[in-house]
Amino acid sequence: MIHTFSAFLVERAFEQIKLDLAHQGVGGVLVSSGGSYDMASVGRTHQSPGDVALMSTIPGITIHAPSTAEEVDVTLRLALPDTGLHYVRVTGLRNTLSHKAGPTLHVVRRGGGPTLLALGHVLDATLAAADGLDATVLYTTQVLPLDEETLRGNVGQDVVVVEPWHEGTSAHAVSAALADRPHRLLSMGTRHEEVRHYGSPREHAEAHGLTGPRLAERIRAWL
Amino acid sequence: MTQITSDLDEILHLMTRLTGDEKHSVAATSTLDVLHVLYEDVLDVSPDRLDDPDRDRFYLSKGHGPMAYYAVLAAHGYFPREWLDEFGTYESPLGFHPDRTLVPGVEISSGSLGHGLPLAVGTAHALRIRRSPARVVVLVGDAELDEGSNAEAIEYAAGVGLANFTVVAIDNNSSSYAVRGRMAARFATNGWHTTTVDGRDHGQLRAALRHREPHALVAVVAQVEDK
Repeated sequence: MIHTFSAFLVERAFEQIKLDLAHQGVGGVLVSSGGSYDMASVGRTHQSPGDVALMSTIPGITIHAPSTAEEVDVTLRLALPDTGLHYVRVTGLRNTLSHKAGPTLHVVRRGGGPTLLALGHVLDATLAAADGLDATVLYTTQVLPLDEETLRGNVGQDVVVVEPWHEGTSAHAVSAALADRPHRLLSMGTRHEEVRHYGSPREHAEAHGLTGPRLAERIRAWL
Repeated sequence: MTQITSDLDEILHLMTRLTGDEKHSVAATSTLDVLHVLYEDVLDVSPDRLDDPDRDRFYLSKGHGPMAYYAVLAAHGYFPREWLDEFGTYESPLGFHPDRTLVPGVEISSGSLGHGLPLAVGTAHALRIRRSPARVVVLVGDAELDEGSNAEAIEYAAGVGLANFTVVAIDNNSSSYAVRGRMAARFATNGWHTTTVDGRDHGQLRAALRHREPHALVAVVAQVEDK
């Protein structure tokens, strides 16, 4: 098990992860902290919104984004005895309610409108946005591979992914799961351009549009 | 050169605007005296020459705890002193790691250790190709030299024979596997002209940092209190 800030664990060491773990056929549990903007005040060097996208290029990897202390605990207990390669993304930003960590997608809220898939610590904001949209909300701590069966059983035509890392990172996994049916997909996550500001995580969530009101506004415009 | 002079007391006062601390704690900042001497007596650069291709380049590789750096730049007129009061806020150009696109006078964005020395070596190489008289000075920390990228840069710079280059390594004995004197020995083994000075003694720092070798790289180890 290896643990450090996400920027140094994933970005700095990426070739070693690719070659010295994955290519050697060796497993491990890589646990990062800091995420996309936990450390907003220290700037870009300590922010890694691209970590999930980068790690998802590793064949066979399992990516977890547990977002409460309890979910982190369960995730680590699942990953440690396993022989595969796991990336566990831990952030200081967290959701209010814990869900059972692991591969299962949870239906947190049912509605007649669009389906919102919340990944990571944006579940609270996604639920706040869902209220006025009559949306179904799905949540999972396991970002990759996705629980395709539950996803397929709970989506209509309009699917929204909310992810607190590079916008569009999970679009491929969702589209692949729904490849045989007509659907449209909106991805909402951190902006690809740098937010060249310091300040607080709350201010950065606002800048990326990842607060309840901002999510609702954008989804409504898209619908 | 329209260098504005400053004294250390003034810089200490400016640092308190960033930290809210008393003078005696900010004075402990390991980089303070080196930065003061560099901008006061060594570097050929000023706020009105930031686009002069032949200005000297100073790269702060050890980008964390940049308060002394911001205070020195403010004292020398690179940006308004009022900026110091908003340090770290969302709209402030000054954060806990410097961003070269936001702060006039900051030559590299730093904060992830082990990048400044390789960047500086590349810059010095490019300046030599252009036959520029500019020199490059890079400040690193002793623990920062644990990063492997530095080892490649130290060897490469010597290998291609750069001579317009000074590295000043602040040694507060915080390297993970520190052995006293080893850092200077590493530079010397790679062919760098190496001196070790008291990192709080302005006279020693001035002489060491002004020293230029016509055919060799210069490494100055500035010894400060243990971290």
